[in-house]
Amino acid sequence: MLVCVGPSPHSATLIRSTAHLAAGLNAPWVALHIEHSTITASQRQRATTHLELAGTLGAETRTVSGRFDADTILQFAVNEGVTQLVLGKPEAGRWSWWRGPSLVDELVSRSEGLDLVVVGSHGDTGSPRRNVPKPGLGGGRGYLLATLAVSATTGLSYPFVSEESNELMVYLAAVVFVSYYLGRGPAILASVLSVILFNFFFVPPILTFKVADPRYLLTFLVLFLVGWLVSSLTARARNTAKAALYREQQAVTLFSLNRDLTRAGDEGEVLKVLRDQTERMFGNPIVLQAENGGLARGKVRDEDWEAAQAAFQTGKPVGKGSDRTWLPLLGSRTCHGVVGLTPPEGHTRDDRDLLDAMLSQTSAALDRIELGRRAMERDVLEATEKLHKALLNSVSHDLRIPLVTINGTLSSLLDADLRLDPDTEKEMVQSALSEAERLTRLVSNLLQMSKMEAGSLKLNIVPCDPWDLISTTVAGLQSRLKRRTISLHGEEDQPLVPVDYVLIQQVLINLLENSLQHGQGAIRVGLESRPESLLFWVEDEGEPISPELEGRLFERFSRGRELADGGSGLGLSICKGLVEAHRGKIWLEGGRRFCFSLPLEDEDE
Amino acid sequence: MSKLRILVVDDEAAVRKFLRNCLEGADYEVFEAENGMGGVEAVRKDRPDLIILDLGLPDLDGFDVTRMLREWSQVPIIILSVRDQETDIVQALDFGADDYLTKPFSVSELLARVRAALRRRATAAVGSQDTVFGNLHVDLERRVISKNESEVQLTPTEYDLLKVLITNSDRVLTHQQLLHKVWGRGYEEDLQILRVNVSNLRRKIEDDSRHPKLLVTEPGVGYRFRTP
Repeated sequence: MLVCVGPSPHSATLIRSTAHLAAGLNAPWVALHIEHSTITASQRQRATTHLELAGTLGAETRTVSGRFDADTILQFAVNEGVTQLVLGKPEAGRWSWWRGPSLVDELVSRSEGLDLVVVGSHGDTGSPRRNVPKPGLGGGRGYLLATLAVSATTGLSYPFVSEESNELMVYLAAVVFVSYYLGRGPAILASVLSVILFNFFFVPPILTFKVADPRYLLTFLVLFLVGWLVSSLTARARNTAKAALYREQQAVTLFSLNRDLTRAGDEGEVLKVLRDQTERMFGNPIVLQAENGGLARGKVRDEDWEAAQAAFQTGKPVGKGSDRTWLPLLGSRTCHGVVGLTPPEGHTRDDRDLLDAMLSQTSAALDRIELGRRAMERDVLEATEKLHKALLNSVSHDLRIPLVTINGTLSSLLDADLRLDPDTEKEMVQSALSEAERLTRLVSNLLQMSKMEAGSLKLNIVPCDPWDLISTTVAGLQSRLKRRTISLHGEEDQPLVPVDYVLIQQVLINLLENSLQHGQGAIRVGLESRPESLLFWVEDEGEPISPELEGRLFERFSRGRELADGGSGLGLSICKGLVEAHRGKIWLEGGRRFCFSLPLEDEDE
Repeated sequence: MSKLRILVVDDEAAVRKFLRNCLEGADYEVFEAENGMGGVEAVRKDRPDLIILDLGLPDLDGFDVTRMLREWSQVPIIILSVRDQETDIVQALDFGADDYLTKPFSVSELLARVRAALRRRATAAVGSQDTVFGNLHVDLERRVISKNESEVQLTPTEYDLLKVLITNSDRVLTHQQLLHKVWGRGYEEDLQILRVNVSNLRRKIEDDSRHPKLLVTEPGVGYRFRTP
């Protein structure tokens, strides 16, 4: 829901109406102030006050600059996904900045997909508050009005009424009227006056206070009693209405507190919600948060600090030595913090109950957040443990196997009794060397992995020649090709691609090593230029990868069937991590061709 | 003729011992220092013909040692580093180191780099103006480049780039060094212009620009003109 806020006094009413409507619909609402160039400083001040009011009533408040017209409002409504727009009913002269019927009309005619709610101005705002008479009217002015009412009744009815019992009804009506609108005191006065005037003007002998017929004394008593009774009843009804309104306000306050608390993601946000919500009832609350088992000292005076700490430690409200009352936020296990409040003048038991309810809701929200955090920490711990276990299982094997060959070869070279012919010796040394190389690759993959896990991967993006990338990588692998061949395919002219040279080279190395280790036959590497990206591919003539394996191909520690072929299950997952860090994609095509595409546009440009 | 003397600066005793064995086996005289200050002191005292310098020293960074040495000495420096230290390597090279090797490395690679660095030092003063690299013939005096007996047309920038690379052949040049030497001050960060020119130059001088043999990339560091 969207409501526009301005400096006009009617804005406040409009905001309250919207708050009611929004609470009823359980819908979030936005108060928008459009700051246009013709606004004066005092107008801006009032508009800001209204915005603050909207904020305390649970609205999201926004200020935009622009012309105050349908375009701006509709534009904002579309951007924010507003479904209902609350408008004030325009009233000529009263509400100057909504002036011109064309605005509402224009909104009505152009608001496709928007529901419009038009709220009337002063005469009828739809707010229950206005149906309840103000008790303040019962003062001196109330008594005067009561006298006037009874006198007027007398004066108006005197020429027409001949039958005194009819006149009695007219007086009764006046008394009921007075008691309803002016309260109890004026009503009693009206009863008394009615009795006197009725006696004087209508009861024979007329125009004297004498009573000829003693039965009239009973009439006087009844008139007085009725007046008194009616005024008591209306007073009670009014009190009930007042209480209902108060309870409604309480419910709205608790409801909006609860809603905001549910939305709050951490302790700081929860405490901010509490501060905002209590601010309306109690001026300028101070909230202090528990921290590491103690209380975090905010900007509070020494005497406040003492009282706050006492409240925190005892778990009971403390007001001694401070001009505030300090209330603890008691959670299920710990005290989450304390709130310092100044009780307002004439605060009631109900206020106190409301405050207690608000504090216990806040504590519950803090409990929820704490429990959530613990659960999350436990999950993270579990996941880490799982990862470590998998890593250990996978890597311990891969680390040990090369060491067997290396150790064996070196010790056999030292062994004085062992006579090896030069060819065997050379062969052994060569296999030890290739095992050492394998170990080196594994260690560097592990380091790369942990770097990515820790999120400390920094990309050094520079425009690179893709063929240069490929050829440098292929040249580095030349010594390990043995009988396999690598051929390059694709147009010679390729655009420069903005990447981290070393990391993309790592991707290519891992893909090529994957082919060397697990694939067969000639390896082909290609480049294809796409409209906004560059596609790299690596394929060989090995057996196509089964669709089951394909699904988890790029997961950590997933490898083909044979454990013994020496893959650690890290290479492809690193490829995926590195390619995705470049905002690229990696996938398998047709069972044997690994493709990855990299965007040609740098992110910053 | 006395043996050429090599100073090994590394904090790992095992690495020092390994390098000593390899280098002595190749008939060099070797002495060691285990930290940066010790290394600088040893250069002052013993005047080695070449230094092998580890980047990760306990007291000083390898590039600090390079900078300190370059203030008064032109002795060739070969940097030893582990992977993922490209920025440190580039810094050391920009400070005047001659070459780098990434651990783990093979002995033959180490010896080749040492020989190349020592040879460069010996021929630096002479400088040949007319050289043949495989089927590429470069005559820097006459500014004529020909491949397979036919002349290659280079833009002035490409020619300058090739000249810088050839006069520093077998030596790694960082991107910044190349940009500074060819394009001048203010272009040091413009990698794109360098990549484009390298790519164009490769197309003109290499047999297969997708398999460059002469103008090779040093990943994350720079380029090297490799003599066949």
